[in-house]
Parts: sequence; structure tokens; C-alpha cells
Amino acid sequence: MKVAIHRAAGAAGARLVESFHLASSPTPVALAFDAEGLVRAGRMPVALREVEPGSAESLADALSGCSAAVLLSIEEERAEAIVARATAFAEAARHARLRRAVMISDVAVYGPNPGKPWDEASPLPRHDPGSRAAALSAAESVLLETCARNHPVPCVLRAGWLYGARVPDFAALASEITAPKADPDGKNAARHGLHIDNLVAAVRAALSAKTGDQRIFSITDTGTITRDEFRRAVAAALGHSRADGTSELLAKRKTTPWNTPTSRAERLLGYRPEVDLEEAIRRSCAWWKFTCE
Amino acid sequence: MRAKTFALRSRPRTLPGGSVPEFVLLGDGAWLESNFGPALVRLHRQGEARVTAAVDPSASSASWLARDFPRLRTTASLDAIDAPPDAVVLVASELRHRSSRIAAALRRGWHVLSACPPAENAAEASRLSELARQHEVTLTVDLPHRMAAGSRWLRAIAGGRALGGCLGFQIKEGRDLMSASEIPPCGAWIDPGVRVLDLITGWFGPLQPINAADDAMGGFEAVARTEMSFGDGCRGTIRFDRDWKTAPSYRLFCRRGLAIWNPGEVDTASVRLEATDQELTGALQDEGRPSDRRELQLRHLLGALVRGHEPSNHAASLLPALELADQLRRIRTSLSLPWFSPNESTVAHTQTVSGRAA
Repeated sequence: MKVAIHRAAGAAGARLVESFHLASSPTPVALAFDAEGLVRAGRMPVALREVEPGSAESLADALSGCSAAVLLSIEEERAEAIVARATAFAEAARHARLRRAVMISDVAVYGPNPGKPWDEASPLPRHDPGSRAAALSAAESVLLETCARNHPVPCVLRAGWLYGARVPDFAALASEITAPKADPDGKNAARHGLHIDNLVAAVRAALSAKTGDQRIFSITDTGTITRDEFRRAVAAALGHSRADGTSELLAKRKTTPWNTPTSRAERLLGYRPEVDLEEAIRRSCAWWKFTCE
Repeated sequence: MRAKTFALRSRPRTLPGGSVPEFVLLGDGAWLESNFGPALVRLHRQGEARVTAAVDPSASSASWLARDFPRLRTTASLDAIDAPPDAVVLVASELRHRSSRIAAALRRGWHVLSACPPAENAAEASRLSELARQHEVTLTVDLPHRMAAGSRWLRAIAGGRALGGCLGFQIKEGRDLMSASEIPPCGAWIDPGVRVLDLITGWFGPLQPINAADDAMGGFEAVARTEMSFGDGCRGTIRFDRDWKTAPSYRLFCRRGLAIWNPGEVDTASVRLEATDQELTGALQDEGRPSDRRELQLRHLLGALVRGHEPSNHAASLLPALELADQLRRIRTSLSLPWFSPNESTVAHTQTVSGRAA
């Protein structure tokens, strides 16, 4: 099965291409908006295709020969681009007659602090117009509505706070721990956790599982850890004792639970995390050390 | 000091009586626009040169060409161009096609300014230089990094004039790239590799690779590292990283202190003297803005053609860097990528070995 990864330039896209290729299944097709965006995928002998931003026609051409595609909305920061790209993706997926279209959204759609137990069936809060959460929510609707007749079968994975190799938020956290001066970009890093290899496991499941009528699944790591504990574990793995920061990032972590319900994904998709928290932190920190050597 | 590898041309040439030199653009128009656009427009408007034709430019550059060079002819092939013998062709074709495009232009009696590098390896670049010599035309390469204020500053320091003899260096590069757009992208040994190797061979003379490793798994490397020796037991390390891009940094460790160059919009430099723990940091003054380095190159090229000299950025001057890149690629091993699962590491290693054997 050929699966297009749109876009392969980011951390999750690069890791999906890497992981699929090294496992020999499914066959990845890397898509990016420019040649430089294909550098990470180009380390392997995989299909590389350039796509014109915002063009459903160009994307449909790039999807030819694929039976499924993954759209990584989670790696898009600009709200206006999230909806436009989801619209082009949904149209192109229909035009290319894909069997399945998987969108990686973000648990940010549940809001910053739901305040009570919640799951995929919970109504989403009213987001500020123009916000990233509002755009992600709208993008999910676009995909589900465009593919309403199951051509292709849509599947939305709401991923937790992504961390691991090449993830900018994780790099900001590691940098904040190891560098004398905190990186201001790290302030927004407080979300629910999902190691990038567990995202790969969830995408694998979503590409083939019989999902019934359910289309939306929350995906996080399993196990319970507060954000404060997570930070301390990362600091220890990086060999730093400077984990007791007083930043806004840490303050948020103390008040926010780490876990998001993943029972629907486990039951219907057969999602099983690839790595536990200990291994996830080890791999993430190993990557950071590699970049700093 | 590096030995000169190219002599003055035997027969001085001049452009035909008073005629304005013609430029022909070949290849990635978007790259040519972003790198040479302002310089070409200035020369064209000032009547110092005319941009007359574009061969196979990218669609994205069409509006630039139509706006700034309304009488320019666009063709799909070099064969359809009827430029005079002393025309200059700016070649920005994909690297895998670049050498053949350059050869075609040289055979037509045209001078060439090529994107860096002109060929994938030293042997091919050497063949092109010889072809240029046979046809009595000039083959030059886009090497604006040599004109950067920081590279000239470190060249002086590497010569031992300011901080004593150089004992070692540490270089990180990868954020700022110079390649024309192509799929698959060229590897890190080529871009930024050749540019950095060109600088250090210019600063230190011949270097001997001690080790080299990269992350290619049957494709092209995004991360590459090497350790080298030079001079009398001195060592240096280089890390090219197109995967996780950080600010480039050049550090020279000398007998009397440390010199650091941080290239950027404004080149900054720092000096830390051995006897103190304080650092002096400031902005380096360049000959002009970075885009003007391209204009300087074009002006040097036109001046050299009129006077019958070889410009300093002639292709043969890049051969030491290309030969070093070839050496590094021959000895490279696999980088261990520690975020992989054990199974992935095994498969990656197997693919690396089989990919390099192929």
C-alpha cells in the first residue's frame, strides 16, 4: 500500500516516512511544498513529490498511485493555512480516489482546560475566531463533510502534545533546561503528551482499522505523568539538575493533567503505544544530544 | 597559501568592438531571480550588460523576467539561442544535469558562471575546466562566500597574523544553503559542504580527512560530520546539518585566543584572548550587502573578460574543495541515529551499506 505523507518536511511527517520505509510497509510517498522540504525524506530511496501550496489539482497529481494519505495539520501553526490545506487535501483525496484519508489534528481543539472529564463525543468549546484551535476544528469538519460518503474513509486523530525527534516544542523544552537562557518559544509547549513514535503507531492503525461510524480519535501516550514530572524526567535524561524552573511553562504544567482519554482509539483502531514514557523520553533526549554534539 | 591551479589565459580576449556583453539565463529561474536578480537588473538598466534570453526557466520566474527584461527571449533549449560568442551563460540547472548544460554552453563559445558546484565531483569539474580552456572561454563558479566579511577576516586569522598560529577549528553549517532547487535535493557534502570546504582549503591549504560519517540510508545525506587534520598536527571538526538547522558558526582556536564568526544578515565576530576570560563581539563590515556580492562577481567576470584574465572564482580554483568532498564521501561511515528503535537501526544500517555498495 502506498501512503502519501503531506507534509514530509515537519517532525511528524519525517518520522512517518522514516518509520514506514524502515519497516518496508506501507510504502511512503513524501510530499512537500519545496525541494528543501524533502531533505529529511531524501535520505532514503523513497518517492519524493513537490506540491503547489493551496492547489488541490497539484495535490491530486501527487497523490496518484497512492491508496491513502496522511495530512499533518498538527504541524501547521498558521490558522488560515490549516483550513485551506485541509480543504485542498479533502478535495484532492476524493479526486485521487484514495481509500483512506487520515488527518492528524490536535487535542488543542478540546480547549486549554476542559475542566471536567471529556472524550471525543464531548462538544467542543467555542474557540476564538481566527485561533489555531478554531481552525483545527473547522479543518476536521471540512474533511469529514467532504468525505461524507466514505470516498475516501476519513479518520481524524487528535494527537496530544507532540514530542520526540525534531519536534520544535520538545527542542524548546530541552533548550530551556540545558541552556542558561530560556527559549521564549517554549512557553506555549504545555499540552497533552504524545511521543512521535506513538503517533506513528496510531497512524498505522488508522490506515487499516475498521472504524465503524466513528471518525475522531484522541491519541496520547499511556501512563500518568504530570507536566512537572515530565520536565524533571527530561532534565534527568539530559544530565541536568536544573528542572525546577519557575517559568510560565512549568506553572501551566502543574495545573494540567497529562492524560487524554484514548480508550476509543484503543478499542476501535487497536491503537497500542509503540513506546512507554521512559523509552519515549530516552529516545527524545537521545535525539537532542545528537543535535548538540 | 594555496597553490594557484590555473595560469593566465594565453590569448587575451576582448568583447567585440564596444558591444555590450549578453547574459543568457539557464535553469532554475526562481533561484537566479533571488540570487542574481538585483545585480542583473542593475547591470541591464545601466547598459553595462543585456539579459537577452532564458532557457527553460521555472514558471515562477516568468513575471520577474517579463517585468525586468521585456525583450528577453524564452526558449526550451540552448540550441535555439543565437547569442554571440562572448555571451555569458548563468547556469542554475539541477546538479545532475548541470555538467552537460555547462559543456554545451562552453562548446558554443560562451563563457559560463555556474551555480556551485559546477559538477558532482572533482573529475567532472576538472574535465569542464579543460573543455573551457580548449574553447578559449571562461568557466567560473558562484562563490560569494569568499567575499563575505567574516570569511576574509578568518582567512587573515588562519594565516596567523592576529592571534598566532591556528591550532584547530570547529564549524557548524546547514541553515544557509545556496543550491538551485532540485528533487531529490543534493546531499550535505555538496551543499553546504563544498562551500565550507572551499573556505577551509583556502585558509589552511591541504587537509587530510581523519573520519567522516553521514545519515544517508540509500538516499542523500542531511547530516554529515567530519574530523580533519592540517598543518603540524592541528585538527578541526565540521558538522553539516540540513535536518535540524541552527545558526552557522565558525571557530578558529589559535595560540593567543579564539576567533568566532557567526554569518548572518549582519556578520558578527568575536575574539577571546587566551590571557583573559572576556570576549569582544562586534559586527563585521562587508564590501556591500550579501546580494551585492553577486554583482561584484558579475563585474569581476566582465572585467576579466575584457582584460583577458581569469577571474578568481574560476572553476579550477574550486577543485581542492571538490577533491576533499570526494575523499570524504569515499571514507564516510554511517552515523548512528539514536532516536530509532533497535529494529530500525538494524534496517537502516543494512540499507546504508547496500546503498553505498550500489
